[in-house]
Amino acid sequence: MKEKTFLDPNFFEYLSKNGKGFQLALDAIKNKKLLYTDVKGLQEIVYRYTLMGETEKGYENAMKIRNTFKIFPITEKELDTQESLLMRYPNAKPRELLHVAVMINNDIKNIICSPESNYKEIEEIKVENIIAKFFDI
Amino acid sequence: MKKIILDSNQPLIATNQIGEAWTMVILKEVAKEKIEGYTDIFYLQEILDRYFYINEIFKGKKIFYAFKNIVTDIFSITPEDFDLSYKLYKKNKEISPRDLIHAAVGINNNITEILSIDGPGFDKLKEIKRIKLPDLLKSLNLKNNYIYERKNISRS
Repeated sequence: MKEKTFLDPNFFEYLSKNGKGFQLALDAIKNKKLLYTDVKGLQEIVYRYTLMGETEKGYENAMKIRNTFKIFPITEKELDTQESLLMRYPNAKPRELLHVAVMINNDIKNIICSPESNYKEIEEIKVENIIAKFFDI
Repeated sequence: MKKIILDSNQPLIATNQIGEAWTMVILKEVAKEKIEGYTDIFYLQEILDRYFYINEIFKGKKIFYAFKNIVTDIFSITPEDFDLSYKLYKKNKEISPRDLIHAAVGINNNITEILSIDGPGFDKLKEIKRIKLPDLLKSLNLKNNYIYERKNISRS
């Protein structure tokens, strides 16, 4: 049985910086079963495009994610889990710990993310490196 | 009872991080349950993010926990909130996505008044009304306290 995997949208940002467009990246992973993200991930996609002056494109791409994968809400339960993680990993980015909290609360161990992120330091989860498998970077 | 959303600037203002401490008057009213003051998960995250990026996460956590414990309730953020924020964007393309998601959360929770210093965005939205601090204090008959606190602050 395939394991559930979480997608941090900074995966798309990293690929974009390396010349691989959003659609190409989405095509590479869209058939992967049991892939999830959360509503903060959608908002982060929009935010990153807004910084480039392309808010509309950001919403369009976020909606592609919304319509392709299951999206978790973020509730007070995740805040509580993030609080414990902040104690354990005081130097970790709060945004990353919130995504990890969503993973823990939904029993997800694996994450697809940018290699530039710091998830590998979090013991509760495992980084799945699919970039080398799908892309020549 | 009056129901309002409190944005992430309120605890920062109240703790003198970016402005004037009489916002504390409102937070005290919320703590005393005289006003229902809500916030959402993303506003709370903004506090942590802001302090993380200036290498003061310890201070950020203190404000985060205090604000979290004062508010009446913390609204979750759902995919449906995101959908509504996109709908609002289509009608108001000049408003920041950050303001739109907070507005969507408020609307989906039937609260359409927000205490915020971020004027330009919320003021353009028909679906939500931004309240300014002096107006809120006046509507709650707290203006005298407000002036009193201002004097105290200016003396200190």
